[in-house]
Amino acid sequence: MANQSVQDIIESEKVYEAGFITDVESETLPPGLDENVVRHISRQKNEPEWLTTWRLRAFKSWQSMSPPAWGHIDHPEIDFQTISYYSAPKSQLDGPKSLDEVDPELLATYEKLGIPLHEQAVLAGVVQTSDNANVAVDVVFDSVSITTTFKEKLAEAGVIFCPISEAVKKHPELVKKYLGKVIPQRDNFFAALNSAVFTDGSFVYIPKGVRCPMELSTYFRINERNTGQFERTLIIADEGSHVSYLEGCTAPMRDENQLHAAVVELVALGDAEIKYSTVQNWYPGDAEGRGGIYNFVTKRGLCAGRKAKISWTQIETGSAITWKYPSVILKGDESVGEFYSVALTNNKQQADTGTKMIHIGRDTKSTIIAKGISAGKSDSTYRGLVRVAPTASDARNFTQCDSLLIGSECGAHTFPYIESKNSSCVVEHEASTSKVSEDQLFVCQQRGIDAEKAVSIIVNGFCKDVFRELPMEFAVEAGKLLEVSLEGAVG
Amino acid sequence: MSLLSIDNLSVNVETSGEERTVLNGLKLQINPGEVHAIMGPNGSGKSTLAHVVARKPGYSIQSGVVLFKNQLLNEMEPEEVAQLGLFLGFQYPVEIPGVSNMEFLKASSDSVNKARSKEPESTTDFMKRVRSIASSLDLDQEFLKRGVNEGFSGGEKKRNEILQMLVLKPDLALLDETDSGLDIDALKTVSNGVNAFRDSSNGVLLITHYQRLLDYVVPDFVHVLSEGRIIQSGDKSLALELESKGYAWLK
Amino acid sequence: MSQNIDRSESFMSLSDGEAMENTSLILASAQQLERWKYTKSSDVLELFLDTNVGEENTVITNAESSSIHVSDSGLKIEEIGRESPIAAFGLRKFEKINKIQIDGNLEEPVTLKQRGQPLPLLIEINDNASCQLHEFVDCEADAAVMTWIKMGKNSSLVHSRNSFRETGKHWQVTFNELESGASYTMHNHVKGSETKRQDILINLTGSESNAKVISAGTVNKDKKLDLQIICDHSTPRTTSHQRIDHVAFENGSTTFNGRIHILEHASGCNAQLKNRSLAMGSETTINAKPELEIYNDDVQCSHGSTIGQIDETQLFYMRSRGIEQKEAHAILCEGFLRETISGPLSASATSNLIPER
Repeated sequence: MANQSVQDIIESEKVYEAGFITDVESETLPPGLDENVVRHISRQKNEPEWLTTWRLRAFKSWQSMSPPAWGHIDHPEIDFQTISYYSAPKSQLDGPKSLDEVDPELLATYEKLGIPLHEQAVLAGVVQTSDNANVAVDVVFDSVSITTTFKEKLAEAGVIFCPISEAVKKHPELVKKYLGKVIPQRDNFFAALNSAVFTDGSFVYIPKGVRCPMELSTYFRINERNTGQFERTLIIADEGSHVSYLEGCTAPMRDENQLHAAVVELVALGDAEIKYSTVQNWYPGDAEGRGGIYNFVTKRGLCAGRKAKISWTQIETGSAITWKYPSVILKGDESVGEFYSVALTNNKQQADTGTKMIHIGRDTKSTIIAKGISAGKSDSTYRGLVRVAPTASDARNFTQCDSLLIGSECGAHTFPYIESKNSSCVVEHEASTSKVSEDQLFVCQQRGIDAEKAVSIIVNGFCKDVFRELPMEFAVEAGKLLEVSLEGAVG
Repeated sequence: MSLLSIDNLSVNVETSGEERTVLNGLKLQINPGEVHAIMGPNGSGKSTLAHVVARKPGYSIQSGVVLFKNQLLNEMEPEEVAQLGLFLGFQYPVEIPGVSNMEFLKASSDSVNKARSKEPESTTDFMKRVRSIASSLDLDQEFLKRGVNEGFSGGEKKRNEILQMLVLKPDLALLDETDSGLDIDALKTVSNGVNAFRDSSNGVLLITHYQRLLDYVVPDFVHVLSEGRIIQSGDKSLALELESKGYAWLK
Repeated sequence: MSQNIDRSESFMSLSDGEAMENTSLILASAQQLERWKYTKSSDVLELFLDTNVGEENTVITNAESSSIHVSDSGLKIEEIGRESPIAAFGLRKFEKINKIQIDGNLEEPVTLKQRGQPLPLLIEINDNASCQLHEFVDCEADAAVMTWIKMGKNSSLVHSRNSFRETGKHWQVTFNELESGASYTMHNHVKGSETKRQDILINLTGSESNAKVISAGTVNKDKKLDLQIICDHSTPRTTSHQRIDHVAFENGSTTFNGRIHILEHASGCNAQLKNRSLAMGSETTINAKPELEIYNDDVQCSHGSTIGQIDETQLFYMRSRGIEQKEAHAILCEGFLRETISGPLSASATSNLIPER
């Protein structure tokens, strides 16, 4: 018998390292949502009339909708009137021109988190010179973009990378043309809410034939108590262009649940490729499930043209509740959609995540690799849809979902929906469930590897197909994150 | 009348979106009673030749004609070619689970007979004939009940090809690397099958990488295929020369 | 440019209304329920609620043995308990059900012919008893057929079912409860009809019980088939094995919805599911939803589901032997089905399911 059982490891707790609250002066709207709040947000951001109208239309839709009930998740009803829908760090209202102007306390926050700006070698370039850096960071702190780096280098290539609020003013034709086109306002309850009250987010446009000269990256933080985060991201890759976008999150510890309802829309035109990678490590709540982020995200990409390619990679280790299905609409002939996912849940975390691959064009291909890891008393669900429309001749899909259970009180579930209305398609789905056994642990321990490390090794091996898809900069961080989550989760 | 007559055959193949020329002006004639062997290094187009003649989809004939018993094969369906009396022994015979060997053979034999306006062989006669051929090839009777090639060893698959050839009695048999992967006993068995098959009215085309098969099935002609064309023809001695010198000396 | 996809509030953009909800509650024994199904239950639910059910024409033959007891007058619903699945369905409609009890080892198979509007049937197999059941579902008009099988400790049943009617709406529901060590095998052969839904609900309530379902189904022009299997592993060391193959012709539509559910204390379970669908027509619709819902880490579970066509390499192999393309298709389709046509009724299944060449 192992001298330390799996259960023991799970029970040994570790305090969430990113848990602290930064004391930054904020201008925060009182809780509640009505038309006036929507108008207020729009006014605060000096938005043009068309966008105000667009938001109000979304708000009207939202009022007639109800939260989705089909997920394999369980949480108390969210009272949307107790949430504050706008908060801006006050000292930032003038808009800093460089990192030097950023509130030092914010920077201190990042230092404590141990991930971005000053600390990480990759990100070091952000505050050094632009010559040696290859990652551009658009930092989002609560709801206002604070600083954007490397604009000039990107501008040289003709790439637009800026807060979406800025894009609304500087590139209204692009925003107008694509906003809400991949994810309609009424797509679902949370997308409608986001459309009404989104505060900020990133906007990316890669012109025809351009290969974006660097990885684009945004760090999201939730900091303001009871402030919902409603990010809105829009990425457009024009014909023959290429972009890799990285998104990462951590959030300070909170007592009350926080809502996050982001929308990410990707548009890849003919021969364009978008690679979107996420490492998500939001506060998952404590061992009893108190606190933690509710993460209801709508992410979808449209392969609009021939041979377009969209690839989603996600490492989900955080949040109390994850409800997220990064999807691809394969409209262009020969377009390609990919989804690589690791979802790790522990304690009382619940994740219902997966993807949808909608094949519309001919010779379209999709690949789904989903790895779910459940520990503690958590539930991890893969939910995926592969739909082949009558027009999608010779469409191909391959799906593999694997679940790893750690401990006997967790759940792992697989709900794939496969629909084919074209007789020439080939769809393959495989799923399996396995566990980290006490025997495996004992063998490792007997060879001098401590149980925590052993579990980490096993889990990392289980996830390697997905890690492989991450950009180099993130692969390291992802491995580390998983290990930290396993420390808190498994050990 | 020649059995097979190929003139100026050029063939392209598309692999992962790229067209490339695999056969380039190939010329070959096989008459009744003749055994030919085509040898050549990997990638010289040997299997392509077999596939094109058997009308496997995916090959586009750029120019040239393939005549079999004076009929143009260029636009035919694979089954029409087979019904005319051309047999392809596959290098990698595919497995067809759920369809028994015997059933498959009967369907095949009936189709060929039907195309020739002949009555189908009675099931009992047919099974008797197949069983006796099977035992001549050291194939167990159980083998006939199993799914086509399902779970067969490499040697069994090749012997099964020969079995099919002997049952169908084609006018021309193209045997694509039938000798590969066989131990010496199996090679002898297969060779005996081929020798039993050959007579003055039919023809055999052996496609092979090694000379070894030709010790057992002695060819009348040996051709060397390289870069899609026959660059040298001769009698059996050519094969021996190739064996000792390799292919390089021909270039 | 906007794709009007997934606008509604459901993951699948489809919601099935209240009837669905209610039926799911009856049908599912799971703690937390995956509600969404491909065929609306409301379409077939009315078969239980509204049709003139209750003619006593469930015919049992070969039932002349001392080990078999057939209730003459039928059991009153009250006698079987209102908690039973049949009662849950039938409270409004059925006043009684038929019952067969087996308490020994029956050498001869029990033959069951379901015609007209049959009464629900309870089959009780006592501890250590064993038997073979040959069921022929042959209802011409719309019908709901319900069979409730209770299996005692270490009992065994080989259940072969052929259901080939292509007219009418049919809902065939089978509940199986297995006590420890019991072994259930089902050889299911089915053809789609106007709407044909088969629910097979297996609850492995006793440890070391095992269930095996091997099912072959075909759907012809304008027909539908929906097979729903839920296998609940409620106790330790239970095993289940599902092998489901469907072939759709022309514009036929098939659905397979199979769920493996492993409860929290059911360690050491093994559950495998393999599902293949073959599209033989040009306008087929094929849906598959193989689900795993697992609450125990000490399990071996896997499922695989594929949708595809006739293999090109196999097709060429056959054509190069002189077999016409159309016939080669037919033979390969037959070969595909042969892998799941099984058990004592396989001969008639072969001739019924496989189109003539």
